[in-house]
Amino acid sequence: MSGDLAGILPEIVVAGGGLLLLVLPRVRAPRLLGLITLAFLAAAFDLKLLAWSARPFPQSLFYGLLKEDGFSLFFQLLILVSIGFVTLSIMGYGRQEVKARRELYALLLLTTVGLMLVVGAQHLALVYVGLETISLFSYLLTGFLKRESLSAEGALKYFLFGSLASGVLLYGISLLYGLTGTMDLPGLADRLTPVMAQAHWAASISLLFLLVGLSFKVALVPFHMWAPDAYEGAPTPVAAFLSLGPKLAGFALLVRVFLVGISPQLGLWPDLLVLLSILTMTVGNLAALAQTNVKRLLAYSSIAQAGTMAIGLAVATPMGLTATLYYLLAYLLMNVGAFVGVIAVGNAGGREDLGAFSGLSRKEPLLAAMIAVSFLSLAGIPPMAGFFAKLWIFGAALKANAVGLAVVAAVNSVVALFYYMKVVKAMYLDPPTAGAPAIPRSRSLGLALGLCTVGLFAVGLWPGIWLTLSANALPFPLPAGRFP
Amino acid sequence: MAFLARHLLSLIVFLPLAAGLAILFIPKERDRWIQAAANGATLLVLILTGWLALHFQPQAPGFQWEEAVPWIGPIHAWYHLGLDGISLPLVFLTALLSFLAAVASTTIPERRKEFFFLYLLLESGMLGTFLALDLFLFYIFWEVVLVPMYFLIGIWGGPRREYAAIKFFLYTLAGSVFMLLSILTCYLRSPAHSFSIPELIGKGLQLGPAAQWWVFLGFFLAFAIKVPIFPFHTWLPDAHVEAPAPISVLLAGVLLKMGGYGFLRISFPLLPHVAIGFSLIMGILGLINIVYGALVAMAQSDFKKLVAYSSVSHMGFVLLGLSALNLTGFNGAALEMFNHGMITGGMFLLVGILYDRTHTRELDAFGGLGAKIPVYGGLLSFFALASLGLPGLSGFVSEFLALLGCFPTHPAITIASASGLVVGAAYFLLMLQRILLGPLKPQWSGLPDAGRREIFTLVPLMIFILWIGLYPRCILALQTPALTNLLFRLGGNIGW
Repeated sequence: MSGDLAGILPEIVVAGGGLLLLVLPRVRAPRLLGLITLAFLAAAFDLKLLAWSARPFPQSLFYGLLKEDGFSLFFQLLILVSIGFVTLSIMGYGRQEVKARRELYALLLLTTVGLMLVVGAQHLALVYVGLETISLFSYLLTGFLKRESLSAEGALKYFLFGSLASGVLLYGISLLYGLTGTMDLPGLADRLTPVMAQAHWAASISLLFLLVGLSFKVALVPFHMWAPDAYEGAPTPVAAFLSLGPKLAGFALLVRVFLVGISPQLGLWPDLLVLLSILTMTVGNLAALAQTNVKRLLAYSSIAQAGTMAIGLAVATPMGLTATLYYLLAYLLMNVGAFVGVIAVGNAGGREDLGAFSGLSRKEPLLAAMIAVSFLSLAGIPPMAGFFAKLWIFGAALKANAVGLAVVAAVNSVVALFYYMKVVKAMYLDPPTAGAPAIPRSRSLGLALGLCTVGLFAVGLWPGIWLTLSANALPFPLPAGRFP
Repeated sequence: MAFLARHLLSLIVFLPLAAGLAILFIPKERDRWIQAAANGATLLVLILTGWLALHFQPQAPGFQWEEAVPWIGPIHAWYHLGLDGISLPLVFLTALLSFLAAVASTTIPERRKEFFFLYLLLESGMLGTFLALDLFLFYIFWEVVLVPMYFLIGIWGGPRREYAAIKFFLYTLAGSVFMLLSILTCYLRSPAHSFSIPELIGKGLQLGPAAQWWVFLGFFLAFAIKVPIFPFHTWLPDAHVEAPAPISVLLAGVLLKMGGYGFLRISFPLLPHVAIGFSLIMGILGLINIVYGALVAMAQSDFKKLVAYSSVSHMGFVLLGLSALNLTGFNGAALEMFNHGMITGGMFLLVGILYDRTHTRELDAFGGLGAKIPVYGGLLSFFALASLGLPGLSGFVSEFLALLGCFPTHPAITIASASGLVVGAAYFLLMLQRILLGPLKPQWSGLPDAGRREIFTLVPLMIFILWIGLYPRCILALQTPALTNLLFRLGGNIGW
C-alpha cells in the first residue's frame, strides 16, 4: 500500500500545495502566490520525470484502480505543463481582483490532481469521480468573476450542460455495469463481446451514453454549446485552462475507455466518432468565421481543433493515436500562445475583440510576432508544430483508407486559415487605433509566450523526436513497423 | 571551404534567411545598412548560382551538388536538395530577379526592416522549392513562400491589398492541402516508403488507374492555382495589381513558375500514364489560357492589369508545351518559364517606375511620353516587343518551340493557339501607342526620365533576353538532357 502511495506522490504534492494555498495567510505580493503554485507544479513535474526514467511501467496501483504507464505519464506531463502556463498567465493577468486571490491558485492545483488521476483510471467509477472533480472545479473557475453577468452566465451554462452530461455518463456506466457485471476497464471487452451479441441495443445505448458524456468534456459538436459562452465569460487565463485541462483529460479517457477498454471492434463507436469529428470541424470552423471577439473565436477554434484530433481516435489505429498525442502536444503550445496573446492585449484596455489587436506589430513587434507564430501554427502553416500535427492526422486517415475524412479535414484547414488570419491581419495590416493605451510589460506573459514560440519551432523543426515520444506513449504495444 | 562546397545548395537556400534575420537586428534608422544588407545577400546568392550554372555538367546523369541528410527518422523524410537541368534555369532566374527586385525596393516607403526580412524569407522559400528533392521538404518550402507573400502584399500593397492578400493565401492554400493529401498517398502507397522524389519515381506507386488520376488531380489543383490555369486564375490579377512593384516582379517572375516546375518535377515523372492521358486536357487548358488571357488583357485600361493578364496568356504556352509530350514542346515549356520570368519581371519593374512618378496606372492618363522620357520609352518598347514575341528576342524562341512541339500532338489546338500571338501583338502595340505616342498631357511636362538605378535593374534582363533570343542553345543545352530523361519515362517522342 505504501508503494501505491509512493506511486501517486506527485499528485499528493500537488494536492498538498492546493490545500496549503487555501490556509495561507493573506500575502502582500500576489506574485508570491503564483510562484508557490509554480514551485509545486515543478516539484510534481520533476517527480513524474523521475518516474518516467526510473520506473519499469506499466504499473498497477491500488488493486488495479490506477495505471501508471507511458500513456498516463505523457498526459500528466502535458497537464502539468499546461497548468504551469495557466499559472504564468494568471500572474500576468491585468485584473488585480483575479490574480491576487489565493482560492484561484488553490482551485487550479486541486483540479490538477483530478486531471492527473483521471488519465490513469482503470475503473469506470474512478472515471466518473475524476471527471466530476474536474468539472466542479471548472464551473467554479469559470464563474470566478462572480459580479460580472457574463462570467456568471457562462458558469451557469457550463454547469447546466455539464451536469446533464455527467448524468448521461453515469447512466451509461450503470447500464454497462448491469450488462457486464464489471466496472473494470481491463477485461471489459471480453465481458462485453457476448453481451453485444445478446442484448445489442442495450449495450449500444450504454456505449452511446458513455461517448456522449465524454464528448461533452472535449466539446465535440453537438455537445459544445457551453464552450463559447464559458470561454467568453471566464477570466481569460481560466478560458485557457478550459481549452486545455478538460480536453486533455477527455481525450485520455476516450482512449482509455473506448480505444483500449472497449476496443474498436465492439460497437459502432468509431463510426460515430468519425461523424462527430466531421461535424465538430465543420461547425467549429464555420462558426468561428463570424466571430469578432477573439476569445470566442478561440473557443470555436479549439472546438474545431478537437474535431481534427478526434480523427486520430476515430480511425482507431496506432498511427492515428500517435497523431492525436502529437496534436495534443502542439495544440497545448499554440493554444497557450494564442490565449496569452489575448491576455497581453486585454491588459492594455480591457478589450478582447479584433480591434484591440489593430496595429500591434508597430507598437509591440516582438509580441505581435510571437502571437502571429501561434496563430499561424493553429492554421497549420509549416514549419510550426501545428502543421505536422495536421499532417500526421491526414496521414493516419489516408492510411486507414478514410479518404473522405482526410478531404473534409483538409478543406476545413483552409476555412480555418481565414479566421486565424483575421487576427494576424489586424496585428500587421491594420493601422493602430489612435490613443489606444500602451500594453503593460509583463515578465510572466513574456516568458510563457516565448516558451510557446520556441516550443512550436522545436516541435516543428525536429518532429521526429516528438513523434517517437508520442508513439512510445501509446497505451498498447506497437505492432511491428508502426509507421508505413 | 570544403564544408561549404559540399553544402553549396543549402548555403544558397539559407543565406537569404540568415541575412533576413540579421536585418532584424539593424536599427531602424540605419536605412542604408538595411538596403545594403539585402542587396549584398541577394547579390551573393546570385553569384553563387551563377557559379553553379557555369560549373553545371548537363550530360551528367542524376542530380548535382546533391545533399541528403535524414530529417524525420520515423517517417523517412530527408533533407534532400539537388540540382538538375530542369531546376537550374529557375534557380538562376530566382536569384537574378530577387537581386534586381531588391535593388528596385528602394521605393518601398515604410517599415523597410520588416519588408526586407519577409522579402529574404520569400527568396529562401522560392529557392528551396526549386531545389528540394524530397516531397515533404518541397511542400514545406512551397508553404513557406505563402506567408511572406501574404504580408508583402497585405502591408505594402495598393488600396485593395487586404482583399488581394487573403485571396492569394486562401487560393494557394486550398490547392496545396490537396497536394498534401496526394503526397501522403504517394508515400503510403509506394514500396519505397519514402518521400524522396527520385526514389518514388524509381520504385513507382502501387495505385489503381483511378486512384492515380485522383493523386494527379490533387497535384494538379495545387500547380494549376499557382500557374495559374483558367479557371483558377482569379487570384492573379488582384495579387499582381495590388502588390508593390518589386513583389509583382517575384510573383510573376518566380511564383508562377513553381506550378510549371511542379508538373515537370513531380506529377509527370511520378504518374506517367495519367500525364499521357491528361495531355489533351492540358492542351485545351493551354489554349484557353492563351486566348482568354490575351483577350482580357486587350480589354484592360490599367497598365498593371494588362501585364498581369498577359502573364496568364504566356503561361498558356507553358501548358501547351507540356501537353506536347515531346522534347521540342518540353524545351519550349521550360524555356518559356525562364523567358517569361525575365520579360514579365522587367515589365513589372517598368510599370513600377512609371507608377512611382505619376501615381496612376491608367493607360489613358498617359500619352506622348516617348518624346518626354525617351530612355524609358526605349526600355518599355524593348520589353513589350520581347513579350509579344518578336523574333530575335527570347520570347519568340520559347513560344515558337512550344507551338512547334504541340503541332504534331494536337494540331487543331496549336492552330487556334497561334491566334493568341496576334492578339498579344495587338494589345502590346496598343499599350505602347497609348503610353508613348500621341500628344503629351500637360501634367507630365515635368516627368523625369528613368534614373541610373532603374536602368541598372533592367539592363541585365535585356542582356539575357537578347542573348537567348539570338543563341537559345545556351539554356537549351542545359535542360535538354534532363528533359530527355523525363520523356524516356513518359515514353514520349524524344526527337526534336
